[in-house]
Amino acid sequence: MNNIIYIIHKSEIISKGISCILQERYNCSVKNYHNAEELIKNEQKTIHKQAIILIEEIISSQETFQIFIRNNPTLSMLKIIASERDANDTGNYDSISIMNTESEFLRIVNDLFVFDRKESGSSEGLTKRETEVLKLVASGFSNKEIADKLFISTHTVISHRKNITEKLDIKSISGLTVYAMINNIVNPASLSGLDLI
Amino acid sequence: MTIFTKNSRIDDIVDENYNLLPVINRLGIKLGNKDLKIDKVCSIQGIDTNFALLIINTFNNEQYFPEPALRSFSPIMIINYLKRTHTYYLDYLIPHIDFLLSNLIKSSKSNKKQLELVEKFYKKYKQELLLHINEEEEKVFPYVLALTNNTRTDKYSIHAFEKEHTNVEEKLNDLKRLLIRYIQPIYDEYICNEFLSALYRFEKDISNHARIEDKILIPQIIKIERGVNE
Repeated sequence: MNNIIYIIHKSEIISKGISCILQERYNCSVKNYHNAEELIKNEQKTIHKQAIILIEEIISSQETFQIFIRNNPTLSMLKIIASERDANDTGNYDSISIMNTESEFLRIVNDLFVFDRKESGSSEGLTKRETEVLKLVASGFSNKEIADKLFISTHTVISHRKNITEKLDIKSISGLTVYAMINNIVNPASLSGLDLI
Repeated sequence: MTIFTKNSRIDDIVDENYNLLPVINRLGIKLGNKDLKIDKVCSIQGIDTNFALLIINTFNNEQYFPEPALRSFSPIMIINYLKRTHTYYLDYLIPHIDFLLSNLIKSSKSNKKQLELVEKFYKKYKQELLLHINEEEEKVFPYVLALTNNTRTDKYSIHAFEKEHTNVEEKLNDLKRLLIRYIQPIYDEYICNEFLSALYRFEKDISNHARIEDKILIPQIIKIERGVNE
């Protein structure tokens, strides 16, 4: 696995703890930041398309960060929730609590590595490319915009969309958006996704 | 598949396919007519038997759609039937589906997030559907009536309206698909079954409804428009 994971959290202890768990389990690089502005400033141009961001919940609702996520819809995001709240139980895949166990945490993070799964490890036999296209469709981008972002032709985008519809048997954009949210292909918490439905 | 005739009894029709009950209602046929044959029932209640049989048979049998016969009826008759169908949707079926969905969500004791997404999707679909029905009632039908009375006032043309139906049906299909395949089943199964059944019924009904509008009403109107323009 060659994912890059960013952790944005004010607490160094929490950041380093999470970083340690992740690097034990996955072959990945981890970068820690104290706040969103630093990350955006440093990584704006260079952030890997499929990077994963673990972010302290409070920071994730800041507008600068929201805008950043909206402009980079291929990024995956997971919120880190403070200790007072209950540990997250199954079904809610957009956040983890620091009260979760290590294995619960890993299970949730594992789902974020959808881009790295080969063959039919991705949902419903969608290929990696199809999943990328689906993510952009569900984020509201036009065929032309998707083509530009992925460096492919519009014709190819349309072809991918036909395959996606055929595999999933979902035709409308809103339907695809719901599917993408359920499967964490698009972050349910991101504003753009909710507007589309 | 049976093709019902003048000699069919209401019983025969409903026994064969009880989903024809709303269709019978919309034609204006009341129950409680003992075991009389349909032509007798229609003549007592002042309904055109041939029209009623055509509508019942086309609904019951997808392969059966005699366009010339259907187009021979006045657009006014067709519109009256379509209007009654709208009433059925607006006054009964859509509120019923709303109710079942709300129960479904309530029945989920744990994580409701996925169902709430489904609800959002359904609400958007419903909004589009209501808009579409409203446009038919406020613009299309009055236009058709004006045309048949030769009292056409504005420059509306039926072409603008034609392509609407596919979008609406697509979303209904997606809704079913999401529930059957992709949503976590953490809700009451019986309520879900009811909700899905209602969706299936609605899908069948609205697809039939769209077929009549697209293949019968619109061609009739185009023909009249051409006649008027000459």
